[in-house]
Amino acid sequence: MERINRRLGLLSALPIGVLLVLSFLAPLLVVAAFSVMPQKVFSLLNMPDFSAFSVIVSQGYYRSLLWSLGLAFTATAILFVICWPLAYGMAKVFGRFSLVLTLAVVMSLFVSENIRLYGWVLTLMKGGLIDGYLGVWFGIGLPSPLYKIPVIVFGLVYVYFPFMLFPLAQGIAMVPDDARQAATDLGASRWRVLTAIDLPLAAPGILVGSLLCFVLSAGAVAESKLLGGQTVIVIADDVETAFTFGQNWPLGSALSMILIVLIGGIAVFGLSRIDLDAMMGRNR
Amino acid sequence: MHTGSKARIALLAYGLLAIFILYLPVMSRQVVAGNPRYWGFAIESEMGAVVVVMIQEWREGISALI
Repeated sequence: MERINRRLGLLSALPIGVLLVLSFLAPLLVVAAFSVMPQKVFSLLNMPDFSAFSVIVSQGYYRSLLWSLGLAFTATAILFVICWPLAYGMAKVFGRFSLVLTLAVVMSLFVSENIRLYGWVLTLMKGGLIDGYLGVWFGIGLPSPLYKIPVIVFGLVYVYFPFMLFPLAQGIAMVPDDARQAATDLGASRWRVLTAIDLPLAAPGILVGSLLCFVLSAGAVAESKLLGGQTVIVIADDVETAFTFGQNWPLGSALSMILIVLIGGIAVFGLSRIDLDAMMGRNR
Repeated sequence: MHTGSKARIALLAYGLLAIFILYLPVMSRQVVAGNPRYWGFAIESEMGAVVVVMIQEWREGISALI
């Protein structure tokens, strides 16, 4: 019976396995192969020389990687702080209103990222929605926050808000009310309950949300382009330039590989520390 | 641990503020465009179209009242 089950399991996994190999693994292998090729070649039939990696160091491409990681880290930290109260409300306080809130947040995702970011450009630009109304109503004008670094972080926080909110709410929902009640009855302060009960028990949700936001933010490009006006060149921007204007596929591939290995390492390390089955409510 | 009514209201207000900020850029496109004909450009998908119709009807209702 167990053998039949195993065979059935393998058969069921076959379509998604084939799809993953074709759509995920194959392009990744091509990128990996190109990353070790000599500069500016368009064929894999060359002698590998790893020169693209030395160019990354010698021409300072690592700076864009550092910018991407720094922006992603900052956005993830801010997202955690602003999403925690809302996620707590959704998991423990709002009751039926949580569904309304969930729908409202999800519905915002029906509008594409670029459209929403252009909306922010219209809202924040000089003479835009905020500046225009301030001028008409109060006769004051403010300098536009666009094309500066904080607005890029704001864009990342805005776009990846749902990706932190929902895992966090799921994590907080896993914290038993009895444990919080017991801690309060034993005289624990609100801060102590937060640090000793809520944060450790909601850790899987925190980790999943943080990983999602960090990984997506590190590879994001639209925020720095549209809101930041390329004040900062992020790694995804450099990858795009190398593949298009630069016509240097090995350099683009090498940059991609560095990002993939770094982010993949962080993701695997994070995911190995949580019990996803427990989070999804499945018994092993 | 019981969440007091003031904290509840504060959390609710925080949630509504988050939703407002989430939709602000979408709405600002409508204001800047100023013409309901462009709304479909700003809000995509079928669900978005429903929202557009809702907003349009709401606007018409308000202008009828005024």
